[in-house]
Amino acid sequence: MTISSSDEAQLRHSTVRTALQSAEASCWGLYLLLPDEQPWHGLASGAFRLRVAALRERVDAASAALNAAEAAL
Amino acid sequence: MTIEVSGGGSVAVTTEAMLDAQRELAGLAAQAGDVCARLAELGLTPWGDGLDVVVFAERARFELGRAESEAQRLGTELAFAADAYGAAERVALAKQQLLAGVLGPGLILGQLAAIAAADAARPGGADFADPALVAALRALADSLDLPVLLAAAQRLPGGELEETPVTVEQVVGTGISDSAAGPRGFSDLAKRIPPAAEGEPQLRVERYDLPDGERHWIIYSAGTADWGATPGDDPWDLTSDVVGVAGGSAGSTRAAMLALQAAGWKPGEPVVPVGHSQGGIVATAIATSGLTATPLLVTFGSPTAGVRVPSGVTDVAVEHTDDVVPALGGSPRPLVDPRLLVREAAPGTAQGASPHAMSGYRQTAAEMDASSDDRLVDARSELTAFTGDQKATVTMWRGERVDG
Repeated sequence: MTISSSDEAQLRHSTVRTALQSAEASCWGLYLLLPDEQPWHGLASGAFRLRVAALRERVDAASAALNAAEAAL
Repeated sequence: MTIEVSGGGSVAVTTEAMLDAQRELAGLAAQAGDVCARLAELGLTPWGDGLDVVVFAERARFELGRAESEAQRLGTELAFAADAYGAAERVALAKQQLLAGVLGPGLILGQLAAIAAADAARPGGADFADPALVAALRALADSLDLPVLLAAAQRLPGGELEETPVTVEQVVGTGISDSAAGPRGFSDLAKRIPPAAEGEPQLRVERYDLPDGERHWIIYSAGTADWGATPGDDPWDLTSDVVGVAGGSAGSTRAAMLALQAAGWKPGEPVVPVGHSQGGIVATAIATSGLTATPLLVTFGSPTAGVRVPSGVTDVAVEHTDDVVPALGGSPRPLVDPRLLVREAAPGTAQGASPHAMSGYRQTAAEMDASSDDRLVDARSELTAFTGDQKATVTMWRGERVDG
């Protein structure tokens, strides 16, 4: 069987799309691993909450960028 | 409910919630790193896949890489925060002890009266389960010289708080099997402590015959059954409470040693003592007697914080933060608490149970068995190693006071 360059491009396109979708799906797993922001250690809980919120923003940004990459394919 | 574990030769304080958060952060860092690596393996190029795709994918990689490193750092800092939390708590305790020492019991009594008044003013009346009350009682206990107070009380006419000789007798026909599998954890230990009830056996003794010929023993002691100031028949009474906390030779402790000997124990043979409330005083006295080799001591709601236990003993103390009884034992030395202290607010109080009730401590013991805290896991392993996975020969004993 002969594979043309357009077939290769299509295969590559499909591989990248699948990989981006898989990466984005993994981001949902990251949300599940964010610790609860409950105040379980007094004064430190405020700082801890901010740090967890910053982590959530990183995951948000990664997820949005993966969406945008898939849309740009 | 969340149990909090501290001590055990370490200054760290960790809670199950903290351990959970650390685990989640480690998982998050690993997974973010994995996604980063998968994106890198794609080998995206502007000429092959398009500039926008590369830019957005790189942005995702950057954010995930930062998420990985920040999650790792937060997990590490959480461990430091846990240490600082423990240190801060001990400093606060030290300040309270200092206050009690400098200003004396009068101030603490005033504090107690204010808390009791506030409790009484609440809808539904006083519940005496206020953590502030518990802290004030602990400070009061620290500020009192109990042996001196006891000596003064025993000089009063009427025979209050005067110790007597004791005797023990094996109780048969209790319905408790004379053979049992070894306890697998704290929950099994808590369930085997005899209930504090008039006329019932106060002690359970288990003998384990190990294949190498050694004999190991576990003794379980009930809590106080008689709250009268004048000693009656039952040595598990207020007199033993006060004498025991003051470091004297309590009738209940002497009865426990007699029961061990009557069951066949020989001085020097290893014993794990377990007890609730006054039973904890008995257990601690056995562990500190110098007569037994004690690898593990387990107490529930026991006023024994101030007792110095030999350093080779794994001393597991379970205290409900709203239980006043452990507070009566005062404070451990604040900066180096050698006990493995497990604390939580008493479960079941919303249903009307006392924070001191053994039912609540049984629930806490079950949570301890479910805990992945290394120190509790090690203590459980120590227990199963102690019994050698052998069956126990079980005997039940009742102590009685006899007239001196």
